[in-house]
Amino acid sequence: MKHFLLAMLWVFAFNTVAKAQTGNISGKIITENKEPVAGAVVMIKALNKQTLSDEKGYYELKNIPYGSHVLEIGSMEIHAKKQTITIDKSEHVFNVSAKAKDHKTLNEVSITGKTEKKKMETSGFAVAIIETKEASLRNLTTNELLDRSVGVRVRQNGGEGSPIEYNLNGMSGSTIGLFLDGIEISTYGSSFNLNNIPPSMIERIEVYKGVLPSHLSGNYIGGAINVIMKKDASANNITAAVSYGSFNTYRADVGALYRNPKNGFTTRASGFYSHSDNNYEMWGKFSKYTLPGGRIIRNYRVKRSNDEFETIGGRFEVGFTNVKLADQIFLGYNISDSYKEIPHGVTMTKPYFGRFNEYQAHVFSLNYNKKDLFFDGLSLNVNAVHSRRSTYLQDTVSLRYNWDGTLLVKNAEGPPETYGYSPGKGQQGDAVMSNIERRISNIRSNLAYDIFSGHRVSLNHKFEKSNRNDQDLLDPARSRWITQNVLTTNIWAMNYESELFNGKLKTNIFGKYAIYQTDQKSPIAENAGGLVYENSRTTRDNKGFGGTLSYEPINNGYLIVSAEKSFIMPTDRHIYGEPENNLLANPNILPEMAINYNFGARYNIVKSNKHKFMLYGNMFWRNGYDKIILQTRVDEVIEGRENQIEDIQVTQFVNLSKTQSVGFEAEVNYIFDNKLNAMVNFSKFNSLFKVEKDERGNPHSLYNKQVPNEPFFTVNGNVQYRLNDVFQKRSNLNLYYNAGYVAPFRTIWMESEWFTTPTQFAHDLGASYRFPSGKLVASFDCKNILNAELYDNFGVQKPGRAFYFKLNYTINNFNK
Amino acid sequence: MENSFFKTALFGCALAIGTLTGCKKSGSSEASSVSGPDVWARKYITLTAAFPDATGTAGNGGTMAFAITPEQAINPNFEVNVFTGGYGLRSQRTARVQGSINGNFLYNIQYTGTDGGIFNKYKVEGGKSFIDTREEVDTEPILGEAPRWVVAAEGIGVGVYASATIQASAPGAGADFIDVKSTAKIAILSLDDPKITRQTEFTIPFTAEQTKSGYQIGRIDVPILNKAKTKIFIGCNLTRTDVTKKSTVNTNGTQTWSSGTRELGTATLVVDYPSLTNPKLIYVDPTISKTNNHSYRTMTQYVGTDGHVYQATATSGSQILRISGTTNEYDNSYNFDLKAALNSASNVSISSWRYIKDGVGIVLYTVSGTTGGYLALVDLNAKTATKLTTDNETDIGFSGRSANTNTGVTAITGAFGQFQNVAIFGDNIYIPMTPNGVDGNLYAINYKTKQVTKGAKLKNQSGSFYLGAY
Repeated sequence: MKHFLLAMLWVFAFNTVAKAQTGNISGKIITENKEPVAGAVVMIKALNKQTLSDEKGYYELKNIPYGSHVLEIGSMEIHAKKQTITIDKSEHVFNVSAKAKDHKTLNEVSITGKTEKKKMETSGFAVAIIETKEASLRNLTTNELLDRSVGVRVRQNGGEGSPIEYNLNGMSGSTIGLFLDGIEISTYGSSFNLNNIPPSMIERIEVYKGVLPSHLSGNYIGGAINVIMKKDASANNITAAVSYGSFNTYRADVGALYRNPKNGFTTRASGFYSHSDNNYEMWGKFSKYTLPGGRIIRNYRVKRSNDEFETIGGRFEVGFTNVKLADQIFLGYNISDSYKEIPHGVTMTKPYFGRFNEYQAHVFSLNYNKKDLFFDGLSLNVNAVHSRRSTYLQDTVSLRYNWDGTLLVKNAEGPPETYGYSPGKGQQGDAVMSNIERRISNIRSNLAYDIFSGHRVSLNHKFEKSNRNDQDLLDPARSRWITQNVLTTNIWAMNYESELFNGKLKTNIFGKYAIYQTDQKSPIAENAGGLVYENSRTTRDNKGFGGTLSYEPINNGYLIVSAEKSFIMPTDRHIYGEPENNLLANPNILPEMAINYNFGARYNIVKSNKHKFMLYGNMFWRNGYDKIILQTRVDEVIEGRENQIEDIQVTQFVNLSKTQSVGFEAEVNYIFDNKLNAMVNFSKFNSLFKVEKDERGNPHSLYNKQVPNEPFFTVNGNVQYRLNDVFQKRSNLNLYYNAGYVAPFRTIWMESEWFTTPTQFAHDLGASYRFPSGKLVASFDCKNILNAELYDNFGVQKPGRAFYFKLNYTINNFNK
Repeated sequence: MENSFFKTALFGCALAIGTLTGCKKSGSSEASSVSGPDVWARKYITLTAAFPDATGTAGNGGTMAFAITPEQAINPNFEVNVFTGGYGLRSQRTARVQGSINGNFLYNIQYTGTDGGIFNKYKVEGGKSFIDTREEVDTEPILGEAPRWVVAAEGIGVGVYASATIQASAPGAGADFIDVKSTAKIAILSLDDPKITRQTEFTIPFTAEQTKSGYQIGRIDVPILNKAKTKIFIGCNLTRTDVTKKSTVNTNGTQTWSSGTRELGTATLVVDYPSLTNPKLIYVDPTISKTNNHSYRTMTQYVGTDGHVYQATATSGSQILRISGTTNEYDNSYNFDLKAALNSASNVSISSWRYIKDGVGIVLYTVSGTTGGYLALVDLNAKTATKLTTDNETDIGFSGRSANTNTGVTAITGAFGQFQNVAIFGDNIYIPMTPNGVDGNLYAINYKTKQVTKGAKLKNQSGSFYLGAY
C-alpha cells in the first residue's frame, strides 16, 4: 500500500506547476480544385508536433506556444508546402491550399513523415513492429503474424487454442514478457490472449528482443511482445468479418467506433467469436495406434480428437478524445470466455478424452493520456486495469482410450477386455475438478517531460497486486487448507531520451528498480471450527539498467545499439522447494543476472519512385549468469531423505553458471511500384552450453555445444502482388505467398532420428479482393498447401493443408 | 548489407531446390525380420553408458550402446568411446536396459517423453550396428511413463507398479490416520514375440491389523520367476506411517504424515505364475533384516543353481537373503552379510550384484564414509567374500556425494548409483568401471580363478558413465 501511495504521489506531484500561454490552431487542407486532402501530415517541426488531416481535410493542433512558427504540410496527393504562422490568441484557423500532384492515388496513402513503425524501429531498441491492418482482412491469426516476423518462433502444442511458448532468438518461457497496452496480458485472463484476439482489434504488435524499454519492465530478460490495441479515433466506422474454413473453423468479429466531433465523446466496441474442432489429420511418426496386447502401429492416420476450442469476447470503451482535459480518457470493460479441450499432455504419450479447461475474465480499465498537461512538454499516461478471472479444469473420465477414440483393449487373445473405470482417476492422473479465481489490479503510469526540444525525461511506475483462491470442487473440504498468496509488485523506472545533431543521434538511458512482496497465509491447524494461520511475508528487490543508441550517419541509414543489465531474484519456490511435489529446497540459490547486447542497422534505398529496398540486420548477444533452472536429480539417496531410495523424479532449482545465445537476424524488403512487395527474413543463433567445469572440476565435455531443443535457424519469406481493376473497375486484387522454414533440431544431446524435429517447410497461398465500393473485401487462403508434416513441439503434429474463406465489410464515416 | 541479402536469397533458392529434389528419408527402411528368442551363440559384449540431460544433470539424458567382441573386451589397447561411436537407444531419459542370455538382444522401455512406457527390442550386430526390430509395445496404460521392469526369466519380462492411499478422519491438518490401502499392478511381457500376455491389478494383501497400524507398500520392483516358473517374487518398499501422529498439510492443502518405526522384516510380494493370482506377502524374520529389497535400476534377485532365490537388500543394505525353492518362503536359517564376510568395520551397501553359478556371485558395493566403488566375489554357501582390486576404485565418481549447502560442497552423481548389468560369458564376468566423468576400463573377472584382467579402455566424458555390460 505504501508503494501505491507513493505512486499516486508522484502522479500528482506536478499539480502545482503553473500553465504557460498557448493557443490551438485548426483548419482545412484543400487542393487548388477545392478538394479536401485526407491524411496529410501537418506539423510544426521545431515543436515536434504533428497530426494528420481527416477525411474531409480538417486538422487540429493544440497547445502551441505564442509566437511565430513554421507550419509544414505534406502528402502523397499534394506538393509539400510551408507556411509561417503567428499565435497570439487561444484559437486560430489556418486553411491551406496546396497544389495537387499528377498521379492521384487514394488507394495507398503513404505518409512522408515517419510512420509509428519506422519511428520505433529506428529508436535504438531491437524492436520489430508488426502492423495488422492488412492481415486483419485475411484469414490470419495474431500468432501466425507473429510467427512470420523476424526472430520470433511461436511454438504451439497442437491446434488452435493450445498452449503456446514464444521463442525470441533463443530466449523463451518466463524470460519473455507478454503485454497488452503495457499491462501483462495474463491480467486479461487465458480467455483473452494472442490465441484469440483477432488482428482487427489490434493496432500493432511490438516485439522487443532482449533489451526492454522502461515502460515494459518486469522479470523479463529475453524480450517482450507488446500488443497495442486499436487507439485510432479519427473516423466513425463499423467493420464486420466472418470466416469459415477447414476443421470446422468459423470466426466472426465486429468493431465500431463513434466520435462526436463537437464534444469529443468517443465510444468503441468490438467483439469476436471463434470456434475450431481442430480435428485435423495426423500421420507422423508419433501418430500411434495401440493394438490389443500393446503392440504399436506408427504413422497411423487419425483425426485429432478432443481438441475443440471455442472463444467469445467483447471489449467496450467509452470516453472522450481530444478534449481539453485529455487527449484520451476511456473507461473500458472487457469480457471473455473460452472453452478448450485438452487432447494430450505436453507430449503425445497418450490421448486424453473428457479433459478440458474453461476460462472466464471480467476486466475493467481506465485509460488516460494527455500531452502538455498543465504546461508544455509534460505528458501523463495512466493505464489502470482490474480483473477477475477464473480457470476451471475438469478431468473425471477414468477409461483408457486409443488414439482413434475407441477403448483400449488389453488382451491379444480371447474376447476383448478393456480397462474399465478406475474410481478417483482421470486421464492424466488423479481425477480433477478445480477452479482457480484470481483478482489482479495492475496500474501502469508514465509521466514524461520534454526539458527542451529533443530532450525528454520520463518516470514509469507499475503497481500490481494479485491474489488467488484455489477451489478443489471434488473435495471441497480440502480447499480451505490451501495456502493463500498475495503478491504485490512495484516497479519504478526512469529514463532519459535525447536527440542530438538534428535528430541524427538518439540516445536513451534507463534504470529500473523493482520490489516484489509475497504475503503467505498458511493454515496449520483447526481450532474450535476456525483455522489457525501462519502468516509470513517475504520481500525481494532487483535492479537493472541499460541504454540504447540510434545514429543516422547517412540519410535513411541507421545504426542501432542497445544493451541492458538486469537481475532476477529467486522466488520462495526456488529457495524452499515443494518437498511434497518432489521439488527439493536450495537455500543457496543465487539471483540470476542477464546482460544483453544488440548491434543492428537499418537502411532504406529509394532508387526511384518505383524501386524501394529496406534492409535490416541485427546481431544479438545474450549472456545469462547463474540462470535458475529446474534440474532433475538422479542420486538414489538424497540429503534429508536418506531412508528413501529414489526412483521417482526429484527436481531442484539450481544455478546454471552461464548461458549464452549469440546470433544474427536480418530482413530484406523490396517494393516495386507499390504493387509488388517481397520480404525475406531469417534468424540464426547459437544457444550454447557454457558450463565450463563438470561435477569433477574438469573441463566440461559439452562446453560450447548447441543446447538441445532450440529451433536455431528459421527463415520466412513472403510476396504480395497487387492487381488493380481486375474483373471490375476500381477494384483491386492482392495475391499472397508465404513460406516458412525451420531447420531440423535435436531435442536431446544424442543424435537420433527419434529425437530430432525434422525440417519444416510450409507454403501458404492467399488472395483478397476489394470490391469497387471499397466496403467489401473477400479473401481466400490456403495454408500449408503442400501438406507438409509440421511440428512446433517435438512429436506434436500441426495441421496439414487447410482452406479458409473470409468476408470483411466496412462502413466508414457514417453519420458525419 | 547487400551481401547478406544475396546470401539470404541464395539460401532461399537452395532451399527451394532442396525441397524439390530431396528424397524423403524413410524411417522404416530397416529390415526387421531378425527377432524371436536368442538362439545364437554369443558374439559380442555390449556396453551401455549414460550422458547428461539438456540442463546438465549427470547420467540422466539417455543411453548409448556399443558392442565389442570378447577378444576386444580383454584387450587393454582397444579403446571404446560409446559417446562418439555408439548407437543411441530410444529414450528421452536414461532408462533400464536389459539383455538376452547370449547378449544378442537388448530390451529397453523408454522413460518419459512422447514414447514414455514404450518397449523396444534391438538385435546386436557388433560395433554401433543395432537393428531396431520395431516390435514396439506400449506398457504405459499399466505401468506408467517410467516403468519398473526386468527380465524375470529368459524371454519373459515382468513390469510392476504399486501405490498407497491413506484414509484419514478428515481433510487438512490435525486429522487422525484411519487406514491405508496399497495397490499393485503386474504386466507380463513376452520378449520373444513382444506383446503383453497378461496383466492384473489387486490390493496388496496386508492383514487389517497391519494396515491399521500404518503398514503400506508404495513401490515394488525387481520381479523374478522361480525355477519351477510357478511363482513371481517381487521386492517391496515397505514403509509405515506413525498412526499416533496427526496429519499436517503442505501449501497445496494435501495431507502429509510422519513415518513410524517398522517392526516387520524385509518383505516380498508373491503371486502365482502365469495366472498372476493368489497374491501373498512373505516376510523375513525381522531380527535378520528390516532393510527393503526393491533395488534401484538393476536386478538384484536371482535363481541359484540350487533352485533357491537369492535376494539382496539393495541398494542400501549389505545382506543377501534366501527364499526357499521348495516352500517359497524366506529361509530364516540363511543370512549372508557382505559387511561380515568382508570383515568391514564400516557399513557397506550393495549397489548391484549378479549370481554367477554354484553359489558364487559378484557384488558391486560402496562403503560408508569412504569414497569409491568396489568389487567382491562372494561365495553364498561358504558365506565368504573376496575383495577384488581395480585401478581407480577409490574414485568419488563411483560413490558420488550429496551437496552440503553449509560447507559449499557440490553434488557428484555416483556411477554405482545407476549401475545396471554385469555380463557373463563362460567363466568370465565383464564389468565396465568408469567413475562419473573419468575414463576407465572394462574388467574381465574369472569367477573360478578370481583373476582380474584389465580390458578395453573406456573413454568417458563429463557427467557420464558406463552403466552395464550385456
